[in-house]
Amino acid sequence: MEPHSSIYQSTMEIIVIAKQVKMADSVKCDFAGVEAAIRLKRKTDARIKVVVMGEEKDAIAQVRDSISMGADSGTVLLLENAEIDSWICAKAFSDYLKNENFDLLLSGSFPIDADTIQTGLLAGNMLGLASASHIEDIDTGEASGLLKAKKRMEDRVQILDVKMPCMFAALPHPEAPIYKTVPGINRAYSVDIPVIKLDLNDQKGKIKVMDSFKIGERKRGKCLTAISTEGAAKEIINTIAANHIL
Amino acid sequence: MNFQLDEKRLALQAAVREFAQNELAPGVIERDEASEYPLELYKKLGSMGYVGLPYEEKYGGSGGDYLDYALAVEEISKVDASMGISYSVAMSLYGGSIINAATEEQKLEFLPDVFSGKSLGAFGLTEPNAGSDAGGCVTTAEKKGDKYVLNGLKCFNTNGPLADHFAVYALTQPELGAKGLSLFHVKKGTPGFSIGKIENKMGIRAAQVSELIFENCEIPESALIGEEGKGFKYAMKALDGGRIGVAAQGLGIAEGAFEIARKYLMTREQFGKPIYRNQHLAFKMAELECEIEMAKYMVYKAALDKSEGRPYTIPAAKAKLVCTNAAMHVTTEAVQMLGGNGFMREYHVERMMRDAKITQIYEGTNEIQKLVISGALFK
Repeated sequence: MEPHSSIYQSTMEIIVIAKQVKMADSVKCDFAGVEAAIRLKRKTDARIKVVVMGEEKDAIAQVRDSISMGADSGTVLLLENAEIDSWICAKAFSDYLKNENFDLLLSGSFPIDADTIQTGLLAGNMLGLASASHIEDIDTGEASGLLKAKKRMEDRVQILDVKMPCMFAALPHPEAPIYKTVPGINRAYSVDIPVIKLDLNDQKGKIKVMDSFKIGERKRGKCLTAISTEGAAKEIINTIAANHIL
Repeated sequence: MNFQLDEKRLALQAAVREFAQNELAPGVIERDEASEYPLELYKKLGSMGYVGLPYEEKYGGSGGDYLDYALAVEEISKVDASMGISYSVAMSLYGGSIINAATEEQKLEFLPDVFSGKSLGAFGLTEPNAGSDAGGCVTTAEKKGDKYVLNGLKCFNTNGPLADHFAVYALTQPELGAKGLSLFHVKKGTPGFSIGKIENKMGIRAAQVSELIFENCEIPESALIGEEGKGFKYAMKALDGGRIGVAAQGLGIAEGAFEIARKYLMTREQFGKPIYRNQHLAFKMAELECEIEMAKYMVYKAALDKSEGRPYTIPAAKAKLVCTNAAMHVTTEAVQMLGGNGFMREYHVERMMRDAKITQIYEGTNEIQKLVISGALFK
């Protein structure tokens, strides 16, 4: 999809999308996407733009928080009193993004659309991007134009080589929070944050969520001690076979 | 008059709070017991720009102001008062001493490492016989050619064992007493300079406090900060700033203990009801809440007075007096309200009570603050 790709020579262009979800007495903000982007930016030269959909005050606050953590710029897609489903949400994001240049599109995995993990993947699909969810880690690939992503499964990880531009839904890393910095806060409160009003009145929802399930907690592995090398190898082969990996 | 912090300050306050809760709170009890300072966490705070908050970027600071700094000391001290005082001493006393009097060249040489949090700074004024009477110092700095030779002993130096940079006050003209006091920058490792006894303290036990010993310690004449004989004035000015830091530390300790007590009163049940439903305790909390809010306004005002170029000696003394008394009062009441649990280490308030005591003593005892305040009343 050339129209969406920057000419990634030295600076990777990353766009992070996040949809705020209203809870009983608060707004649930999703920072997993921007945290994944910042982790990648620490490994390679990259520029991060966050696009947050929500009501003005809370969405601007989320953009500012993201910039304080390390994003470079942000935009608000203003959602006023509209009850929308994941499809409408993804359509709104993709309509905005089709005019943007980027190499990587990121979203969070859970809070973005009340734990159904659909919005980011749907938007990626609408833009014709290779997409993957439950991404734990992203690295630059061995060949130019590729990203290497670690996708978490129930009982294993998959290492994916994905051609850019692409879309990943990133998992949060609560064990390694990314803090706001003073230069980040200074930038967040000095940049302009454009607010684009969305007109979604004639949009009809297409998705009915019947149920959703979070990925299960990873089981603790088995540590083989006091065992011969041959015995350990046999045990590993048996475990792999029992899990249908072989 | 506006009592509301703006959005940017609120964001900064929330960011330091998040760091303190996530990074400083785990292990705070163990560090207190072992008297271990979390230098790596301090450096991490520095790497994010939170250490040099009140100073210009060209000196390694973050370009904020003294209110930003006071908010950071407050948030850190809610969780770990030892880190609070270490930070305050490095910024207000070491940083204040150098920034107020040094040449531009000296500032660029002696400040960036400390303001960026890569290393700590310490302040050597107090001596065994020169506490509240700071003019009674006997440490000397004798001029010999193009060097000064320091001899003497400084005590109760926060950050002493950990610091790389020291602001040291010594007599260049001993016969003049306080008017013969001068300020010097001394680097760690200078021959003739050593760390003496490391104190075993009642509170702020994770902070490292020690003697500084000078035995024929030669420093270049370029280490003289400002003018000879102006040291006492420089020290008092640095201490004015330091009092804002200690006031913020006291406020943080009070708030930390108050919040622990508030949650405890809501969850602890006796006689079939949460104990906050005993009016005596609820009213006690109402009084403490007012005391904390008064303290908060006083230290924020003193910090803004300093930031905006107004005289701040008296506001700083008032804030130090009120905030540190609030720290002592609130923590003592919190221990009492938590009953037997309050006396136990895992509930934190006993540590906070021990930490609070020193805030009424250092950076000028609270009796000295009353001298400063009353002195201005009866000029």
